Amino acid sequence: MKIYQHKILHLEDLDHLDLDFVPDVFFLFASPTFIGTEEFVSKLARKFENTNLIGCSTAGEILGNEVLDSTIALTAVKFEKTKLRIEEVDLISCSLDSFEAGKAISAKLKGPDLRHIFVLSDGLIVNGAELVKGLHADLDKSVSITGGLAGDCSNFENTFVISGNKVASKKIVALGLYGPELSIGFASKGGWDSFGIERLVTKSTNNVLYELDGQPALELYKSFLGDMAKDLPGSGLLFPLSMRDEDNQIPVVRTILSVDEKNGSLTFAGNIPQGSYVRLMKANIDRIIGGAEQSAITAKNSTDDQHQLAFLISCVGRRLVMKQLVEEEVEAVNEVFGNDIYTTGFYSYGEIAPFDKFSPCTLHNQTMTITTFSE
Amino acid sequence: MINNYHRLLKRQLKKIDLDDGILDLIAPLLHQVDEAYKAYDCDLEQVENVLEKSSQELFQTNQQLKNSVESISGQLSKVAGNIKDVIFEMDLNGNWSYLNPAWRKLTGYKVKDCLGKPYYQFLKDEHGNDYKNLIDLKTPNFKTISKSFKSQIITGEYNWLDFSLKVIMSEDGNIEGYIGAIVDISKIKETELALIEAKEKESMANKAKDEFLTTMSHEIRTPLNAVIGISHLLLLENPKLEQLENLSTLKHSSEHLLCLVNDILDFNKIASGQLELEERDFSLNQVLNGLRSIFHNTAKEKDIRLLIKKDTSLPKTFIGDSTRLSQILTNLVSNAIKFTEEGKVMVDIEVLGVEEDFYVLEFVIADTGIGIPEDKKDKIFLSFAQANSDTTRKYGGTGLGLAICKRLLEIMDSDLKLESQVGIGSTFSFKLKLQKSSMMDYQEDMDTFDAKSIHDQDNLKGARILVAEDNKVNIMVIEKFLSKWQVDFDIAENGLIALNMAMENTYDMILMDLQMPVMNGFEASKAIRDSNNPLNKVIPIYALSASTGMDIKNQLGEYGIDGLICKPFNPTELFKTLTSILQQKYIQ
Repeated sequence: MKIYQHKILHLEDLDHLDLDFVPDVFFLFASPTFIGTEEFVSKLARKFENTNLIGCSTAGEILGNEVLDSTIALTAVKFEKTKLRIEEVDLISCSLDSFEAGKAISAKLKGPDLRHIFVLSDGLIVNGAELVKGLHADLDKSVSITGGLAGDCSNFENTFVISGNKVASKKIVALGLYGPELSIGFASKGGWDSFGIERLVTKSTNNVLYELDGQPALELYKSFLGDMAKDLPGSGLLFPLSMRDEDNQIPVVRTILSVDEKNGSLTFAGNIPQGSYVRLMKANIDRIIGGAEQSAITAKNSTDDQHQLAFLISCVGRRLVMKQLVEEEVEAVNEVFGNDIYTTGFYSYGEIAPFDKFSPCTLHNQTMTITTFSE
Repeated sequence: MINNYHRLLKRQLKKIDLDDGILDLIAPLLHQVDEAYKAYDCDLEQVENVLEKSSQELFQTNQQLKNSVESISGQLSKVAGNIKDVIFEMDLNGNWSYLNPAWRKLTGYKVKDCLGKPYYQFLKDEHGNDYKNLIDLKTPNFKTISKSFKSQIITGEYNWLDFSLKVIMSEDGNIEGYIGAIVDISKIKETELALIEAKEKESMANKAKDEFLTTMSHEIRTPLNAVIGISHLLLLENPKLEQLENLSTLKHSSEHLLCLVNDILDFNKIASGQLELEERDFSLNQVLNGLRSIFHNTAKEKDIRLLIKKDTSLPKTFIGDSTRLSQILTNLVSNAIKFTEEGKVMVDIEVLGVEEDFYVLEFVIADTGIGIPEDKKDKIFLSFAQANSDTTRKYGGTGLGLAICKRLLEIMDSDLKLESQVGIGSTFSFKLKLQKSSMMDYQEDMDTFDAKSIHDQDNLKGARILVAEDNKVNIMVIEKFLSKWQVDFDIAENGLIALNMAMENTYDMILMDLQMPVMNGFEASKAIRDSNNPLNKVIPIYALSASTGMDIKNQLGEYGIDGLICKPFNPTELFKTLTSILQQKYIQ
């Protein structure tokens, strides 16, 4: 596997790419504040006609030990034996049905030696939990799925994905990896603590929560945010919910995407089924960093092979908590993997991965989700 | 710029008093420090808010929990307080840890005086001793215990208590204590005892009734014997034509009365469960021939054909109770003939199946008689019932026959079935499982003997017979017959006389009444057998008795009695029996 990484600060940096191989794929994690993303993508595609492009907008780009803003984190990869295919699905064409969109992508990528799907999706109008369900609905259980939802700093206004030579919103793009030589590792860990009493979800529809213990959910939620309530939905990233229901024996974390003042509801990045139990969560910087480290250890131990390339998809909520200390979690991960690994990734609005190799793939929030490849 | 910094940073900068040049140089650092301080404050404020909110919630939740605990325990104590039975909790040492108010009502002890004290101080047996062994507290190898016992209460009176106890287990499987209930079952016990007593009384009354019926029937049979016997004799003495009708009526009526008494005796025996079935080899042919000979004349008189059909594969001998089988068949055929004015009565016996040790036979008795209406089919099996009340008047009968047949078949694990159509006829049928017999059929020999002897009254001429009988009328009857058959006989009026006469004379046979004064028939027979006269060891001794039970039959052997001749006897039957006994004696 050949890997080349470059931090693109300006459009002109395209001319300084110092590649000594023709890559199979460019992974591009682009800040919404980078000026000229579309131009960069189309020029790059033109320059490398036989190379696939896949990427998305971020709430912070990860490259090596750095967490960046206003850049494009570029990683070029040439696999030795693994075959690749990139497919995309327009959410509008699926009538915004995330489950159907997931199923459609899996159908397109399905093949006898399909090993893994790395999926990047629009981060705002997609229901991540439904997308994950759709992705593995018709798929053999041996095919692993990881990925994330695109971010836009922490504005929750417009996210996009990069596919082929295009930059587009309301789309899902996925990379299929084929062949027996590919070795895949993955893990997902948070490090958040839940506190206070457990509350019963008394009214909800899919990912929209209306009532907890018979009380309006938004009102209760705001009372815990205090002064920060005025910064919703952004400040909601600091206050995810821990949810357990019959499907999820291990509680999963759910982050707020938006709020509706009119009907007093909260919209989450994943489903909050009626009858499930939720608790409020709080962050502790040390434990969040510890969580990232744990995630790296699990991913590292999930395969015996030497890891060559790692994608770190971490939640924007973690970044908001860690603030100036955000790079600590990236460094913690890299310390676990050692020097021989190339790391890239982004801060996202939702992470897709199993907890470990024994669990089914689910949508996470507030985690550090790691996917490693080697061959 | 500096004025907008966090106040802690401003304070720190003031203290360190740096040059403007340095301040400009480190401005980006100061900016970051300022941001971090402010964010920290913000986070702290947030955490404080969360803490405050959470505390409030926890306080409220705790309050709610307390309230609901109070309301539940209030409800529970209301429930426990109003329950009539005692509910208790006990610690590992057997000390009461909870007792509801019913405890005081039951025992008279105040609850507060009992709590913390061992249970056995308050539960005492009839001698006033503690019930220490009620529960094995040292090695409790039980989950639940339930015991009933009598216990003393505070007043010294006794109550019957039902004491049940259950182990309370902790989550880790250790015994934490016990919970249970005590119910005052004194009333139930009293009722139970009263019921037992009533049942005993009732069964004694039943027994007395049965005994009365048996004794009475038995007592009736003895004089009846005389009436039947004499009416036979009178008929044999060439009566005048106008007397003949009266005598026939007298004979029939007395026979009917005998039949009724026999039925009552049988029915009573079955009802009281005293009937024992005999298991002996028997010839079915003999039973059927008997049936034919009984009804041949009656059927002929009514101009009805009596047909007896047998399956060709039907074996000749079986093991079972031929007397009872014969009784059932006689009853059913008698009914069939009674209720049939024209046509035929048919008895059909078929082998339904053969098993290792058993034959399954089906007996069908079909007639072309008046039939039984649908709504009366169940009724006719009831005792003293006939299809119509005027049936008795027209056809006679006791109304017990079918009930007896049905009961007898039930005892034989069978069932009497009926198909009938009014004006066309009735068909009764039953299945019987009869054991296979290895015995050869002897019936034909008997038949030839019977045929030869029945019309020859010289058979008994000169035979020496001793009759032991105390009843004057019976003596008279038997004297008349024996004289008629030219028998050389002696009468002994009790057992002792019979013994003496047997010692002194040589007889061909002894007929022995069983119930006699001075010495009864059993003892007399035994004494005769034990006497020195060697002829008395082999002489046929036959009991004459109105008792026909199995118990008597079984006893006969023990006293050296060879067989039983039932009273009242049919003269023809008696003649046949005596002839056959003497014939066998000579053959030997």
